[in-house]
Amino acid sequence: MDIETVGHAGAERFAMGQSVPRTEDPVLLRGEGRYTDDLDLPGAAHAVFVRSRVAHGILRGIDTDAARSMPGVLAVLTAADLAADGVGLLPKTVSLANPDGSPARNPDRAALATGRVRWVGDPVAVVIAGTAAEARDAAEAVTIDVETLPAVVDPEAALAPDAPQLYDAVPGNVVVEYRYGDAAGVEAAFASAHHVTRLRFVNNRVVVAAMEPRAAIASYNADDGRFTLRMGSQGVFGMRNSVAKVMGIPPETLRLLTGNVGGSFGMKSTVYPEYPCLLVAARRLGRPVRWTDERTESFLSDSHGRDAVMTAELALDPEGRFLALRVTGVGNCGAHTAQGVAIPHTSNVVKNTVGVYRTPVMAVHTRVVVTNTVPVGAYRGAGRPEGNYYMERLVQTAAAEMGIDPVALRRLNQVRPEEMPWTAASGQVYDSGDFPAVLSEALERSDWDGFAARKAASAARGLLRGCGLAQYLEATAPPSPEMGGVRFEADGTVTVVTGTLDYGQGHAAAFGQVLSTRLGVPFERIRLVQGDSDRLVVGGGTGGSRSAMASGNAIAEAAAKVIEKGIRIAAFALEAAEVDVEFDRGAFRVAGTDRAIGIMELAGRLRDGLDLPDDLPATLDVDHVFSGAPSTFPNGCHVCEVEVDPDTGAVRVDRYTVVDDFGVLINPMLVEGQAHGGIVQGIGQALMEHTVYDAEGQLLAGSFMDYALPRAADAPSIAFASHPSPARSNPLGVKGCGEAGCSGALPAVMNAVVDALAERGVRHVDMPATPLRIWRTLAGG
Amino acid sequence: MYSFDYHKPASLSDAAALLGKAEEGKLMAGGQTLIPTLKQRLARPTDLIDLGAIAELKGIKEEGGALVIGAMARHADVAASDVVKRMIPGLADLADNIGDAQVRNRGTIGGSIANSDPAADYPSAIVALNATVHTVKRTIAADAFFTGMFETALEEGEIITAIRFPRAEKAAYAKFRNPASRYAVVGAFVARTGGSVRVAITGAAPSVFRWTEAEAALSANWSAAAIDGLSVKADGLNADIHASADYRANLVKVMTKRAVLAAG
Ligand SMILES: Cc1cc2nc3c(=O)[nH]c(=O)nc-3n(C[C@H](O)[C@H](O)[C@H](O)COP(=O)(O)OP(=O)(O)OC[C@H]3O[C@@H](n4cnc5c(N)ncnc54)[C@H](O)[C@@H]3O)c2cc1C
Repeated sequence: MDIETVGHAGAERFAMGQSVPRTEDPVLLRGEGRYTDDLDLPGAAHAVFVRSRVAHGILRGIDTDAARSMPGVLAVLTAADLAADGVGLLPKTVSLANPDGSPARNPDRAALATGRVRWVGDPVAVVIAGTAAEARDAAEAVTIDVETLPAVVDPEAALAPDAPQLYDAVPGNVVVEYRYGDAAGVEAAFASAHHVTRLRFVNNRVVVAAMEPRAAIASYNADDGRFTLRMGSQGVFGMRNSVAKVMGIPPETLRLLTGNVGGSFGMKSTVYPEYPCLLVAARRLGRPVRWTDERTESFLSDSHGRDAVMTAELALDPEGRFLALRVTGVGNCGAHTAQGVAIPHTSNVVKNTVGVYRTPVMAVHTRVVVTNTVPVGAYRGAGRPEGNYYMERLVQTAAAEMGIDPVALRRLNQVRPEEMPWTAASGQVYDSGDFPAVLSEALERSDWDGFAARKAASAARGLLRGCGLAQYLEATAPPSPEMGGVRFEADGTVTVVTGTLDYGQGHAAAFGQVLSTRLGVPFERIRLVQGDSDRLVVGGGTGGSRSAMASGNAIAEAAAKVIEKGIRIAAFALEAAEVDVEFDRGAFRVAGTDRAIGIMELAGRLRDGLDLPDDLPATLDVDHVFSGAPSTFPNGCHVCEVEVDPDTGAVRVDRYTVVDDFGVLINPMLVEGQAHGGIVQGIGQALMEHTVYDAEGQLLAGSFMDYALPRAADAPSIAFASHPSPARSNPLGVKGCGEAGCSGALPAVMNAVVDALAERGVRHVDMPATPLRIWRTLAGG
Repeated sequence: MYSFDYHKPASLSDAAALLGKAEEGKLMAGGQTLIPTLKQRLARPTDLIDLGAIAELKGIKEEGGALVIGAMARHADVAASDVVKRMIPGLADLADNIGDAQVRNRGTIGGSIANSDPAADYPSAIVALNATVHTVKRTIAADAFFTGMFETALEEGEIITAIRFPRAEKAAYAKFRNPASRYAVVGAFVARTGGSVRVAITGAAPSVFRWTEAEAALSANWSAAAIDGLSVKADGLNADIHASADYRANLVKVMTKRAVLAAG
C-alpha cells in the first residue's frame, strides 16, 4: 500500500476552522444557478392570483365568467374548486395554550378566501393560462364583489372592545394569551425595588423582501399518481409533509424539490396558499403549472416580520442590581395563523430578553392578535432581536436614570463564566460563555475610550454623535432530529445528504469541511444534497440558527458510523483483526505496521465488487439520524457609533464593532458574513424600514420607491472579532450565528441614536429612527 | 403591461408623423418613468414612439455663451460632460445624484422635465438657472414651463428638443434624498447671475416653485446666514410617509443654506 495515496494534499486548507470559499459562488456569480423560475418545464401553464384590494369585507361573489372566456385561459379556480378536490385548511401554526388551558384560537384558513377577505393581498382566485400575459389579462377580468367592513391594522387597536372583529372563532381578535413566570414574585420585587425603569417599545413591522421572489412549479404524473412541487423553501422534508397534509394526500406521493434559493429569512418556511392551488391546477389540467411572484405582489403576499408593541420593565436595587424583569404587550400576527406565527411574541420573548444578566425573576404576559394586514411570520431572529432590544435599551436607560456608568452596570449584573451552567430566569440553561471578557474585548476594539474626542469632533461640524453598546444573548432553536447521510457514489464523489437547506448561507462549504475533517475525504469530491424530499428520511430544515448544530453534528456522527463500518471492511481487506485497525486522517491502518488503505480507495474497492463475507456491511454508506442538539446561546457585544444631523434628522452609522461568541467556528468567513448580514438587516429595521398602513388597511409603503431597504452605502464597515467559548452541549462545540447580527444591532444602533440625542433631553426614540422621526423628536413634537 | 406597437423613428419629423397617426401614441425617452407605469398597467398606449434614434435630440454643447443640452441627453451624460462641468458645475453635480447608476444611464433630461414629477431634481435647475425649453414648435421660458403636479405647458404631442441654460456665476444644488427612491424630499437650486439671484425648490410642493424671500435676502447678502431669519410656511406643502409639511418647510431652509454654501 502506497502511503502517499492515502490522505490528500492540502487537506488542512479545508479543515474545520478554515475560511473555505463558498462552493456555490462561482456558479451563482456566473448566472448558472438554478432558481425555481429558471426551470423550464415543457408545456407549463402560467398562474396569476387575483387578490383582494380591500383590507376587510364580506365576499359576496366572485365573477369568473369573463375571465374564463379570455384567450388562452385554461382554468379559473376559487375556494370551492379546491374544496371539491379534497384540499383542506392551511396549517395552524400556533400550538400554545391560553392561561386557562384552552388551546390557541387559530382561525380556519383555506388557501383561497372563503366568506370574507381579510387583508389587501388576500388571494381570492387563481387564473391559469397558456402564457403569463394571458393569465394576467384574465386575472384583471375577474370581479370580486366585496361588502367592505371596517379594518384594524394596529395590534393595540385590535384589542379595543369596539375593534373590528376578523373571525367569529377568534373573540376579541386574540389568538392566544400567553403568560410565563412568577407574576406575583415579580410584582413583589417591583413593589419593593429602589428603582424601576420602564419603556414602551414599538417593534416596527418589516417587509422581508428576499432578493428572489417566491416561485413554484407544480406537476402531476397521472401514471403513478405522484405530484412534484419545485419551489423555494427552507427545507424540503417538513414542507413536503405539510403540503401533503393540506392536499389530503399521502406524503410519499409528493416530491418536493428546492434548487437555489435567493434569501428567505424565515419567510419561505410556511405553506403558502399558492402551493396547493398550483398542485390542484396541475392535476386538473394534466400539465405543469408555474407561478412566480412579482415584487409588488410580494409586498402583499409574503409574510412580513416583527410588529409588536411591548412594555418592558426592570427593577433594580440601590446599587443597580437587577431584581426582576417584566414584559407585557401585544404582538401582531396579521390576518391568519398559517403564515402568521406567535413565537416571536411569546416563548421567544421569554428566552431572549434576560440575556447575559443575573436577574432572579421574570414574567411575560402578552397577547397575539389578528389584524387586517399581511400575516406576520418568523423573520431573522423571530423574537431574539426584539427581546435583546428591550433588555439592552432598558439597561442603558436604567444606567442613565440612576447615574451609573452603563459599562459598570452591565459588569455588576453579568453572569460570570465560573457560574456556568447557569439557569436563567427564562428557564434556559446556559452551558458556556464569558460575558465579561466579551464586553472587555468589544470596548477595547471599538476604542470606547476615544469616543469623547470623536464626539467633540462631530460637534465641531454641527453633528450629534452617540455611542451605543449592546450585549446580546439568544437561544437558538430547540433540539429536533436531523439527517446526516453519507454516500460513496459510483463516480468517486461523496454525497452528503441532510435536511437543512441553504438559502444563501454557504452550507456546502461548511458541511464539506466537517466531513472532510472527520473522514479525510477530499473536500473537492464532496457534494451536498439538501433539496430533494425523496432522498431524506428526516429533515428539520433551516431555521432558528440551527443548521451548524443540527446538520453539522449529524454529519460528524454519520462520519463516525462510516468509520465503524470501514474498520470492519478494512480489516478484511488488509487481512487483519478488527481490533488492530485504526482510522486516522482518511486511512485505515493496521496498528504498528505500514499496511493501510485510504477511505476513498476502500470505497473504490467496494464499488469494484470486493468479495465480502456476508456478515460485513456491503458499503460504507450511512443514513444517520441525529437526535438533535440542545439550544445554544450565542452571545456577543456590539458597539455602534452614529452621527445625527440635527437640522435634517438624518442618522449615519459611522463605526461598528462586534465581538461574538459563536463557539467553535467551522468556517470563520461564512460566520463573519452572517454577522454582517444580520447587522445590516438590524440597521435597516432600526433606521429605515417603515411599513406604513393607512387606517383602511392599504399598505402605503408598498414598493421600493417608498420602502427603504438598506443599500451598501447605508452600511458601515464592520469590525468583527470572535471570542469563542465552545458550546458544551453539542459534539462540535458550535453555536448558531445566523440571526445574532440582528439581535445585537437593534439595541446597539438605537442606544447610539438615543445617546446622540441625550444632550437634547431625549430619553427614547422608537424604530425606525427615520429623519422625520428624529427631527420631530428634537423639535419636541 | 398591455400590448402596443413599438416604433423607433430616426428623425423628429417621422416621430411627429407617427404620433399624429397613432390612436393613442406615447413618446418614450429613457423609459424610467414610462416603463414602470406600463408594467403596472396604469397606462394603455396603442403606440410607443422611442426617441432614442433621433440624432437631433442628442448632444451637449456651448452655443453663444449658453449651455445647450439635447432632450435625449441622459443624466449620466450630463454628469460626465466636460462642457457642463466647466460652464455650470452645479448642474453636473445634480445629474450625478439622480436615482442610481441604472436610472442615470437611461433617464433623460427631456423625459424628466416633460414628466414634471414634484420630486424630480431637474425642474429646480431649469427654474433657478432661468433656462428655456425648446420644442418642435416654440421656446418656453422656465417660469412658464412647469404648471403643476405632473403638468407642463407642453401641448399634446409637443416634443422637447433641447434645453438652453444661460451661464451662471454661481450655482449649486442641495438635495435631501428620499432614502428609498432617492428622489428629492426637498431640493434647492440657487443661482446667481449678474445681480440677480434665483432660488428654486423642488420636492416640497406639488410643483417646483421660486422662493422669492430667499432670492431677495440672497441678493442683498449672498451668504447662508442670509437665510437664517426667513421662515417657510408649511401650508400647501406636500406630506407623505417620509416627510410632513412642517418637516419639508424646515428642509427648504436647510437645503437652501447648504446650496448657498456649496455654490461658494
Ligand atoms: C428608481 C428610480 C429613481 C429615480 N430617482 C430620481 C431622482 O432621484 N431624481 C429625479 O429627478 N428623477 C429620478 N427618477 C426619474 C428618472 O431620472 C427620469 O428622469 C424619469 O424617469 C423620466 O425620464 P425618462 O427619460 O426615463 O422618460 P420616460 O420615462 O421615457 O418618459 C417620461 C414622460 O416624458 C415624456 N417624454 C419623454 N421625452 C420627451 C420629450 N423629448 N418631449 C416630450 N415628452 C417627452 C414621455 O412621453 C413620458 O410621458 C428616478 C426613476 C427611477 C425609476
